[in-house]
Amino acid sequence: MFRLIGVPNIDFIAKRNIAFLISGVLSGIGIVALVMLMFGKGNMGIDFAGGTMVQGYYDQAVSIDEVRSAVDKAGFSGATIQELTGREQASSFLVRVKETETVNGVSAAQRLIGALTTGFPSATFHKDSEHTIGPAVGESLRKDTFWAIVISVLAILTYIAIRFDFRGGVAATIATFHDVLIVLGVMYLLHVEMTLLLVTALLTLAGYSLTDTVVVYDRIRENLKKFRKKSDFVPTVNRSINETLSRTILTASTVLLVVIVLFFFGGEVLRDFSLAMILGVAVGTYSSIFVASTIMVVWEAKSPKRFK
Amino acid sequence: MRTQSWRIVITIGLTALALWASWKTLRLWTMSDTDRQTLLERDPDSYKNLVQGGMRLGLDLQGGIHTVVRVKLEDIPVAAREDAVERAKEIIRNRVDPEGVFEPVIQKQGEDRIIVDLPGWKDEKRAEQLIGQTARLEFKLMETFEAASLIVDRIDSIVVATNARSAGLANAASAPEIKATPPADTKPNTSADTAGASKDVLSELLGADTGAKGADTAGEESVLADSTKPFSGLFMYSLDNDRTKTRWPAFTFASSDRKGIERILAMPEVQAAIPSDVELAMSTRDGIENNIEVSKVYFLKKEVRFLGESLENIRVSQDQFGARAVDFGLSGASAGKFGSLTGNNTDKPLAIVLDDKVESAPFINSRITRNGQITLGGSATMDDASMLATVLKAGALPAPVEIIEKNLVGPTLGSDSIRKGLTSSLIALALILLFIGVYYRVSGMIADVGLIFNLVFLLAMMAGLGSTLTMPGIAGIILTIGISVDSNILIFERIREELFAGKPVRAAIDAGYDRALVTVIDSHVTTLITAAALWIFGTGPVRGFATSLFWGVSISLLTAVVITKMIFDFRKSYKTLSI
Repeated sequence: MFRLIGVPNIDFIAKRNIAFLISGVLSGIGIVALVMLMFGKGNMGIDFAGGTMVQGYYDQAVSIDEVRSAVDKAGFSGATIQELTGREQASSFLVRVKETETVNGVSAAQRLIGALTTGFPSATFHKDSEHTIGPAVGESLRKDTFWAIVISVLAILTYIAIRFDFRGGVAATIATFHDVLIVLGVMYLLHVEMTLLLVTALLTLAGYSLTDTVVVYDRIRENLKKFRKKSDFVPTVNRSINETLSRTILTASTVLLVVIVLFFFGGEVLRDFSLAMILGVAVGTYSSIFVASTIMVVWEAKSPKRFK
Repeated sequence: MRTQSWRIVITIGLTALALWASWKTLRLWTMSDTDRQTLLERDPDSYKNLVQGGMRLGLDLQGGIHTVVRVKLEDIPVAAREDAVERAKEIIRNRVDPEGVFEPVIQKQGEDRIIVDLPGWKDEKRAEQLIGQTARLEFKLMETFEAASLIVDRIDSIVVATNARSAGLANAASAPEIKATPPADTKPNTSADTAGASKDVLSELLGADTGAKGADTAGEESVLADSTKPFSGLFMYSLDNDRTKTRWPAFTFASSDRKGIERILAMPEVQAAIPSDVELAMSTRDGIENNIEVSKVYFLKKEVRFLGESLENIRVSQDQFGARAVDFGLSGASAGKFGSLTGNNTDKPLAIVLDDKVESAPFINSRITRNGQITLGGSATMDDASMLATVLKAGALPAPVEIIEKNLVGPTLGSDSIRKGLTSSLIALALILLFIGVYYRVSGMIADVGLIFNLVFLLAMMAGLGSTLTMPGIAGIILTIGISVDSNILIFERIREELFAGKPVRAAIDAGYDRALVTVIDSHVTTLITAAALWIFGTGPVRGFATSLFWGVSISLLTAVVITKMIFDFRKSYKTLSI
């Protein structure tokens, strides 16, 4: 038998103050990021803000600064330029601008492609893709996404309410939001573009991070049946976490493995998505060990219910 | 062993189902490009069947154009707004879907939007013209049969000459290839009844004699097939006015011959042979006659005789004999104009032309001034009538549209994405198979078998349901690989615990599966809940991801539990277990 970890005996609960500090700071960043995004501040993708995006490559080497100055010179506002790596063609770029209007029969994408072409007499620009989302579509996508988030959150909360007792439910909810907020905060700090796919990743990991919590809680409940004394509570929680640690880490590893592969080999479209998933799985594993159960322990210590 | 027998039956049954569901996709995807091209030309129907019955590639993977258009309802009179979006949709379909090979997706979204997906399209200018232009409905007279016959004869001889020349060339492949005419008897025998049934009549509403309908339609079989007539040989019959015993040059042909006809018409020599005041136009949509799809080619006089804008009060109705009909009204100067047009051309067909394609060509029954009625042939359905009404309304009340979203993906980017998706799927799969196989040894390999079954079933299901595979969909499949093995990890960890507790191997396996089952379901429920929510509210890319994740994880509940347990139970007693 090959075991990565057996059943260790680590006192996770004792480290709760450090855990709460780290979690507090990181979730705080996440809350700030969420508020900023709600007020439209941040790197909103064209999915939500509307805009025009052109992807293409030059047949000669062209630097990102040259591309930027060509786009600026053409009078585009808020241009974001990204150099794409790992493609066959050198000098592959993704350019996003806020403009969407068609002026005198010339669309925003055509004007942008024009700027990318005429700025470089020696290199020819080849378009791979273009995407224009008008403000109206951006608005309805924002609305749809808002409802997708609301429905997902309601569905998860309903599940928690059915599955857990009140305290466990509150702790699981906090842990889930904690995970999503931390990933959101990190993505915000990294200036990652907010897109439909990124929101999808956040909602998916909200669902996924709950599964570890469920398994740890199940074990706590099973183990608690054997004890009746108050002094047994913390050791029981600790023991449950330790017993499930091996499988918590194993299941997280398999998911981590595939999203890391996706990050490195999945291409530009899925890079931010997989980055969010990587962070989410890592944070989710951490929170099911250090956050969800410790909240229950602290709560029990402040106002005893189970062992009065 | 009863449960075991069930497991075996389920596994074999599902595998058979998976093969059946995916054979069309497998056949299409294993074909070489040239084989595909050959099939498309020889037998377009079975090609279409393969494409439609299998997994499709999304625009992000095969390239193409995705647009969302908004119908400018504010520019349309209030009374006409009601079905304006339907009309605009019908016009777009009419323009982009003549062949049906590109599989465009045209659907209404919300109140005033239409999604138009054109997979595989490269020509963005044409796409924008087709989608964005306002509809143009025109009425034109037809060329006489005699004049058209001369043109047809000329085209026949041009094609015969070209065929002879290309047959004489050593390098035949580079010459334009014209399909040989099939013998006449392979064509469905044209009965005059069906020919008569498809004839429409245009008459003054109320009191007018609809004449020909139901009258003697026998006699005039206009089958022109002849091996020396590569062009006209494809025609099954012409449009004949049974009352006046006149023939009109609207030729019905099997839709499978459309490519051949279009290729002939595209030849520069053929185009030069068509007089400048004559135009050849195809029918707007295919019809079904004698169980085969048929189209028509019309020989029209180029001059526009009347514009659709003047039509009023268009509605579906019935004529005095109860046949399907469409009524319309005219007023003011246009009534007079239409009156003299119809008065001077009684008993001739008047072609209703939408965006250069002919919707129908009813015979003019009498002079029409204020109230007209188009009676559809006896076999017409309610759909046919409402389609005609929609087309007339589209011309009368054009619904202007604007493009509010456009996404164009070049084919190179698409194939780049396919390669990346395939590479990452295979690497992810290999790593997981290896990881589980090394960590849990023989038991791990059993779990690996379950995982492979999971993927096969998932892909077969997506193929069978005709789902569209997108890049986020591939991400969902890859995530499924990572998440679905969790079930086996849960079960195996439980079995290990039971073994540590001193249970014999057989009992430990059974207990492990029994006790872990609740946790297995529990641990996937949340993923399924979020995937379902994403599917319901998500659009486009999000939906593709949610679909593959949802089904992948659902199927894993079956494969990771039932199939792996079946393999364990193939051996009845265990002394040791490699886990």
